[in-house]
Amino acid sequence: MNEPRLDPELESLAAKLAAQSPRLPAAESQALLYQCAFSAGQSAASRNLRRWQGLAAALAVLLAGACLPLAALRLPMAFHRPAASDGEPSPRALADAQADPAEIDVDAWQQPSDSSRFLEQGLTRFGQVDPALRSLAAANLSRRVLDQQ
Amino acid sequence: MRTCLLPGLLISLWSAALAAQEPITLSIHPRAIESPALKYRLFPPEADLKSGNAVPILLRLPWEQVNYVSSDKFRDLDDWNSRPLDSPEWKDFRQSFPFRFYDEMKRAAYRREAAWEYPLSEEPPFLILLPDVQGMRQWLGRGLSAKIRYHLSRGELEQAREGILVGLANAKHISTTPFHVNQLVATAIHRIMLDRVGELISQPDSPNLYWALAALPESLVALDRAADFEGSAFLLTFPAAADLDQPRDAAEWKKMLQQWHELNRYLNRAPHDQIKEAEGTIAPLAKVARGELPGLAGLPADRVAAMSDEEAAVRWLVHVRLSYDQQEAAALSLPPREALPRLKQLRAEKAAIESKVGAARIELRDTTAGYVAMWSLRRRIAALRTIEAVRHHLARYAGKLPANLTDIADVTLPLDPLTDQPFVWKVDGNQATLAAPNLPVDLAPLGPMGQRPGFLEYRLEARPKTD
Repeated sequence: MNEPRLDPELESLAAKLAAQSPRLPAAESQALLYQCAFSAGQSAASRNLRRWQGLAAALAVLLAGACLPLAALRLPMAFHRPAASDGEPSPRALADAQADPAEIDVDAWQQPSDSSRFLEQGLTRFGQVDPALRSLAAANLSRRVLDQQ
Repeated sequence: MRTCLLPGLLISLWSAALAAQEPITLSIHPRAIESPALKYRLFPPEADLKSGNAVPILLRLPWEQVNYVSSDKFRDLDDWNSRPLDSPEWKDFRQSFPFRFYDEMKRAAYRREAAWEYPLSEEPPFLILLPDVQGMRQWLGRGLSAKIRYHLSRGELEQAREGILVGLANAKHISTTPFHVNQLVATAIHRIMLDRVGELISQPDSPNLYWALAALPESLVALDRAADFEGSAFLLTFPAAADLDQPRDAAEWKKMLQQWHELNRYLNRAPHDQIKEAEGTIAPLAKVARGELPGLAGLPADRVAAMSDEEAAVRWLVHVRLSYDQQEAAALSLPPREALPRLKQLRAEKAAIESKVGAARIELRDTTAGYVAMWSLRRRIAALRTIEAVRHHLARYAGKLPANLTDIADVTLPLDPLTDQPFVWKVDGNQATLAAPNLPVDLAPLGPMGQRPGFLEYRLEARPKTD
């Protein structure tokens, strides 16, 4: 008995569908994609983590190396007492003698060595101003206006 | 040559604005308090302000009118301020003032911010140049005042009122810079604008500005900010003074003293030869310093004795200057009842210090007159409000002046802010005098020309209502 013939268009569609690769259900497809992404991220993260660990270790070594000489300088300074001297004590020795070790400013080495440079530079710039305009400086104007009252 | 004149012009504005000792004569006409109360304003309402910076607008003004600002018309603007309002010359005013100036001033007046960008923390503040302050007083003070009077001469009262608003708002922009001199220039411009208010309310059809005056900002200048900043300005100028306990050798102390001298040379008013002489002989200064430093700075006597002359001198100068500046800043933040006695004590300290070491070595300021001038703005506003209350009374009682200020109903009357006392009121027929109580001379010394600080007296003539 002959099989009944299908419509040619339907046969063509069936042939095309048969040629397609099998597809997973949507849920399984999502799960598979998630696993792929997770694995990729884990791999990248562990690479980054190893890099950061290496960098942190290198910095720690550098920091320790930099601190040792400073500590060696700081400790004698904190506990230094000027030796008795017949001569006039230097201002630096006097200042050290006044200072309590507990009050030593551990950040003092960070302060600008010459805070007078700010004024020095300002005075130099002001000296270059036309003398006729120097009376327009804030302090001069205030004083002269107040004088006139 | 012209640049030499700039400070002189600035000072002449200040002197003219503050030294006036003549009573102000005004005609007043009946006018009830306006309804709604703030129908007329003398300061931009908060809701109308636009965000943005007023300063570029103001500073651009001269560049938009380069030919005008270098012309005689610009320099002679002040002539219009002494011209009677009924002078026929007012018809020519439009040729003397570019009205485009006013449009930009008005735009600036309605800006919420005013950032002048002075290098306050980048340069020693004492040495910062303020050439723009000079320009501001010319076009915001004299120029705008002349324009307001032009409108008054033509009976254009609304334009005159708006001009006053623009002047007050822009002068307040000037006061955002925390230098004393900016407050003083702003004070002078405010004072000019309040004089124009007096002229405006003496016009027959002027609105009653009682509430417009009451709604002005509590203070038109920033005296508290200026006091605070100037109290720190010495340290900002001379930062090494902030860390005197940092170890220094003799050469470093010597260098600090040299810097003090150089600064003093630029800023001290003493004759040049006296300053040079003071620089050459530090022994008298060092002697005073060694005697006082143990008590002043709490330094052990043996440590002071071991100091070089330069170190002792610098430590003493810095200590005295810091102490004086900060006491003065604190006093200026007080109301007059407390501030004036404190400023009197400081004047005595200043005189004692200068007599000990010479004013050529250290110059200290006396800001009493500036303080009184700034508080006198509030005095003037309170007096003008009182006059408006009198005009309200005239409207209610058929043009009859009140025998006493306490007879005025419906509105409250302000006290004089400088003395916390009522204004003095005297009536003689249709004439009246409204005067502010005088300040005691020991608390507010007379000026160099004998002027009484804060003097204010209005002579009023009541006129009938116009139809």
